[in-house]
Amino acid sequence: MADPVAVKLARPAMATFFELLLWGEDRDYLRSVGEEALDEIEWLEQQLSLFIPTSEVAAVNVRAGQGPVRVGVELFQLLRHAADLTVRTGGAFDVTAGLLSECWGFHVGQVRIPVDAELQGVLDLVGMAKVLLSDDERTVRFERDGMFIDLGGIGKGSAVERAAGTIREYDIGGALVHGGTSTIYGVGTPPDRDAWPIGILHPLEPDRRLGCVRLCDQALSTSKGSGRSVRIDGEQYGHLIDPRTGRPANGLLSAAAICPSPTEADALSTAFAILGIEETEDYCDRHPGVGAIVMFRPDNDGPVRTKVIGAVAEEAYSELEPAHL
Amino acid sequence: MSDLSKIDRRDFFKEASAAAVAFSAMAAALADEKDKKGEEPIPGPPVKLGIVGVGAQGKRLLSELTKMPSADVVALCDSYPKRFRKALRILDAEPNTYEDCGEMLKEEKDLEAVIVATPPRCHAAMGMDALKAGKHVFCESLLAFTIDECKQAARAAKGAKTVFQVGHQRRSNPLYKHVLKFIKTGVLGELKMVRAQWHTNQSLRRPCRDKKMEKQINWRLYKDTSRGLMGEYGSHQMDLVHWYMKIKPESVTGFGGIDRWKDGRTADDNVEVLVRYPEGVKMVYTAMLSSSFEGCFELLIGTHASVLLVGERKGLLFKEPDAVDMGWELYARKEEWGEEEGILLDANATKYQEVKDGKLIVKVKEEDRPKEEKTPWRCELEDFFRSIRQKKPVACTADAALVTAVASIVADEAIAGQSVVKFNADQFKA
Repeated sequence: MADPVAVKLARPAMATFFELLLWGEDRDYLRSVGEEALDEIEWLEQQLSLFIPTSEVAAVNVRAGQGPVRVGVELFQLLRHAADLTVRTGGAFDVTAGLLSECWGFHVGQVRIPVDAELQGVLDLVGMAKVLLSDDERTVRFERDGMFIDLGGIGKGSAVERAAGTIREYDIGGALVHGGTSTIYGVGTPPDRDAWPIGILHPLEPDRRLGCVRLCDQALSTSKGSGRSVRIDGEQYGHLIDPRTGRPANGLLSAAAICPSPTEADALSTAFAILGIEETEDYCDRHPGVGAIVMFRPDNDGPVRTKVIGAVAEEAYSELEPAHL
Repeated sequence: MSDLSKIDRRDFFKEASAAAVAFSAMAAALADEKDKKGEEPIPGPPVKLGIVGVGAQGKRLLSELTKMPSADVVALCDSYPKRFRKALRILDAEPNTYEDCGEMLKEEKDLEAVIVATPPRCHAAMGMDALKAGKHVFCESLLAFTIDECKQAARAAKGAKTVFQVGHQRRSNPLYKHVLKFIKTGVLGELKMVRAQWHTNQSLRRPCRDKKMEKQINWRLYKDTSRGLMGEYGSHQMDLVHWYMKIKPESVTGFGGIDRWKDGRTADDNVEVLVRYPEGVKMVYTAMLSSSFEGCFELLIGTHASVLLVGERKGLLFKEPDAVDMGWELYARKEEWGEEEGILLDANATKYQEVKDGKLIVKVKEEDRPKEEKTPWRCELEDFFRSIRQKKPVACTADAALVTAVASIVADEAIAGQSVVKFNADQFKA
């Protein structure tokens, strides 16, 4: 058997870069598999992106407030999945919550505190339960005009999942897929190892590695918590809005989710950053296939602490340097 | 280039007569931009469709068709049945499937229209079979693989009572139609050159382990199954020149080679082509698979202004420093392109007219709502259904596509021979 070869490919999409590393016997074949996976990612972006005027999401955001909008199978299934995740996370993950970020001025980089009446007005337009999905017609309708959907919290995960699924259809040794390094999936293993080793970085010092996660047919996705916090009138505000209250969530510096589905990992990492430690522990108790790694500073002061939650995370995470594994 | 936003309005009003001519021509061009018909629903029952070829392009069309109320896909046909699985997932329906186009035409009595999305070798035969069976035909570009086949197909289309549309999608794209209106007002001055490219950083190879299936799956990579980068990509961009300028090429030359993807393919992975047109117009074209820098664009270069069309989704106008001010550009959105500032040509921006100081001014107003636009494939499919149900003139006829196909085929041959090849008028006649 010849020595394995590896091929690396990358393509810009969803305001970041997706990278694939595939290994196997035949370089040309590996490349062809990688290109097909990248094409799928690009295709998904064209359907899902809020910023592309020809996307299905753009069509929904423009028209679903006035009547049902027919969408393709991919988007419909993803919206069903997103709705299910909203229920499971008690509302912490919600793709309709983008209006709240706008309301707090995050999207223009000028954070301001909305008055209660204004916030309530926006909250009336937020809530996945107000997105009506018809399985028979494959349509999406908003209960109220003015709502909008932003799949930013789940899009990269679903693209990584699609790419991995495509790669699996072909006979290669193994692969690593990531979108913007925030969602990573290991297809099988690298040659001569039993898992892909992924470094976990310090949330405040990007050059410092804190630990390592080992992935084999597992996904890891990381969300920043209060990393971009802002001080207004003496109060500290994080940039992640809790869809349940309309106010910024506080506390965690970062949260990562580990589970078999990259789509779920992407969504859950955002949810965990909002839920905080106790509710994340509760979630992982109820969902044994899911693990979490959260980083925080007790009382917002002192050294960064790491908490590993759930058997899946305990098995995958270690504080050693990857080379020592 | 002068900063248009700082121009004193009194100064440009002084150029009364020349400016007024420009204003009224522009006003006429801009007055009724929205194609009202394009917003009305397509009347009549959904068109019963059979799709032949469900590879990459077929799937792209299916993903649009599954959302179009005017489309009812009742049959799929492909000689490689493994392709059906992914196609059916996109379509979310259960049409009949066939491996032979003739059989599909025989069995599916209710078929009204056929979409041919196979490799170009099959276009002529399948298109003509479908016409003979009395069906409307949407044929992906290139019209056909050889000049003889192109002529046969064009003759058959002319003689048929049904619609025959070729998939040169720019002709259906609102952006390109909008830009054409500008160009007709003479804003470019004299068109001197078209620079266009299709650059990407991919091998275009599809996964294939079975050597027996290689030519079927990777038909794009071989000279005997593909007209190469000119046939697959250059043809669309050349078609733009033929459509906009109503001209046909006089001569062509070029180079090509396999410089990067040495994986057993015989089709070039890069081509560099020069086309000479009447009235001093030239086209400089490159297509390559080794770099994605600046991707896909067409640049129409004129003595008064140039228009850059990027990625089939954006149009920018760059005026020469000494060109006459048109007035409306003060209110139009600008965008940077490298070192230049271009005026955005936006088919969706609404315009209104106002009289000020006795002069007619055209103002440009942005739409306030978030934008939704249709993909180029959705636009060309809608045109196809409108031609069928509303007798709308065909967006790209076989005769028009014949010019482009001949140009592409001869360009491909000129590259192979590394020679200058002259066209003759007979080649473009059906």
